[in-house]
Amino acid sequence: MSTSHREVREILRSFQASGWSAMTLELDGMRVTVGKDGPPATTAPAPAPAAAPVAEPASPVADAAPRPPAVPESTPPAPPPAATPQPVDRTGCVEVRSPAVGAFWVAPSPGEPPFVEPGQTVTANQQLAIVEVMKLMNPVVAPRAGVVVEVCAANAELVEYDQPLFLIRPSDE
Amino acid sequence: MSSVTRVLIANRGEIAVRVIRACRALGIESVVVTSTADRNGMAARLADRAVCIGPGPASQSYLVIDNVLSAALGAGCDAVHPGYGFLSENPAFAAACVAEGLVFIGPRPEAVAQAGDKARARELARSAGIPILSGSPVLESTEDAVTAANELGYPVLLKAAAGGGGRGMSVVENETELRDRWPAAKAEAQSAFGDGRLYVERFIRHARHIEVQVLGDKHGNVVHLGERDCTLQRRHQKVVEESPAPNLPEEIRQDIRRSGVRFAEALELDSAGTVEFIYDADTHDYAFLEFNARIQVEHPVSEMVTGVDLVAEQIRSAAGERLRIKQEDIELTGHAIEVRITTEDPARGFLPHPGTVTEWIAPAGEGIRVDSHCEPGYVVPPFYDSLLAKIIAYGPSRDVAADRMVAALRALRVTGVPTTADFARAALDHPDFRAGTVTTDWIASRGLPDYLEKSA
Repeated sequence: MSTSHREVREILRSFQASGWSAMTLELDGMRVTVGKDGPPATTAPAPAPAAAPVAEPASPVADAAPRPPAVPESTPPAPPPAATPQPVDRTGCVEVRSPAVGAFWVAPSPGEPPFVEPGQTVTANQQLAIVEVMKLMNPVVAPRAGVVVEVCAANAELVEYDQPLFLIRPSDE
Repeated sequence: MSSVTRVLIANRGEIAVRVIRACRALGIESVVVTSTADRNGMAARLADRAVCIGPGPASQSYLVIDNVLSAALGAGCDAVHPGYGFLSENPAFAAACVAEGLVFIGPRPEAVAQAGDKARARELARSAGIPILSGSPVLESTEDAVTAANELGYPVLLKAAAGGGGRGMSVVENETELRDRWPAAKAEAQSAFGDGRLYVERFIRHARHIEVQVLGDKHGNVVHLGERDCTLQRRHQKVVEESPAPNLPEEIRQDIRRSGVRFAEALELDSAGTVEFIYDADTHDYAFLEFNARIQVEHPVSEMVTGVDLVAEQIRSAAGERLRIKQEDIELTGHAIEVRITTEDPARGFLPHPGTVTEWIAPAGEGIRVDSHCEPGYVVPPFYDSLLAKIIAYGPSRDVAADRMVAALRALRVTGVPTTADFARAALDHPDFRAGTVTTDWIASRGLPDYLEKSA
């Protein structure tokens, strides 16, 4: 899913007009960090947040984020920024893809707690979310039992048919 | 005036690419819907955004109104361009767009509905004083049929009331044949369409297909952009189209164009559309066939000879703008021919042939335009029509245009799938085509047999 240059420019214009001094935006696998007076203090220029491909059966179960040898093992030039989330270990996960094109809802209705959260154990066929297509609520269900590792789409966003919505690490059965 | 700033394109293939280009020319954003089969296609990559709305089969993606609307609203579009085919002439879709506050880039939903109902469209043509094919009402008995056929004059076409697209009809030369054919035709219609009702219609032995491109706005203005000749067909699918129509007496040409405008005015057409006529090459009579409430595959030939961007005009009209062109401004200059390149095998009855296009080099040069979504590595999905590209050749005269087309068809390099390019090349080189004497049955009766014999 691509975000157009035009859309990015529009977002930047909105930022410019806002009272904010800095903003970090994550969208479609793209991450944009901008600040009005130089780079924002809280976020280091992220060296591409550990893009561990989903399908990487070769890599062993990581106990810590494995560093490529090029990176010196001593203290990195900038301390790991607090804002950067821990890289998610996606090893062995299965994707739960969207059954339809529509609005993605993580909770049964606004204001209610979400169906599931990362870290939560789910059973097969347990409802994870809703994809709303023109007022028709399509349940998103877990294909098998496991632990929710990641929610890959933002609440209320337009999601496409077949777009990955959740990563689940299946439990042994 | 409604503003159109971001258009959802509810289509695929070359027409999606074509609409994206028109949007770009107007400074409008484009969002294209795709199926999983087209997710990485050219249209998806060229548009400002692509939204996947379902799996490959059109019945689960491009034809699902709610999925298309969901994408349009979710992506913040304010207008929808339906292209051709799929939902383009579905009045429920047009109405649903309007109900959701989206500008439908096409005729008003009521006009789409009226044009889509063949009987109503025919009645509208009759009331506008446009010739329609003489035919009988539904016939109750053999004796009724004989009486009706005698009034029309033989040969007649015996047709199933529920038939369509060339199915459920047979030519009857005289009364004996009609009496013989009647019971079988009734039984066939019953089994094929679940409806055994029959009627007879005048049969035109040497028929040509001529259609008028019309364009209207929401302020009551209608113009025509000349006519197109789409006579070269196989199984009622157009293969070659051109503008202006060759070999047509000038007064008939003007009369057909006027009839096109009269129909559009009667329909209060507020967008682009096409009025189709059948033309009798023997008697020079013509009659209304049907109205198409959409942009057509062959629209580029009209664009080439008029210099009007029809898709851009569609968008402007939909946004409520007045037509910027008056009838007297439209002058047809030169001649344009379009050939549809489809992945079909002429040697196997034009059997569609999905597969991977390994090599694709489109022709280019003076007067050559190519509308296509094809590129090396393109996988022709099995779910949709087999159109790969449209090659349009323009020239100051029909012969120059035809020569340029023949050269372009020779220059086209496509491997991996069979195409109709070489068959079209042979047709354009044929003396019958050059003389402008082909009729709608020419490919079946002469063009294809000649071609297969030569290439055997």
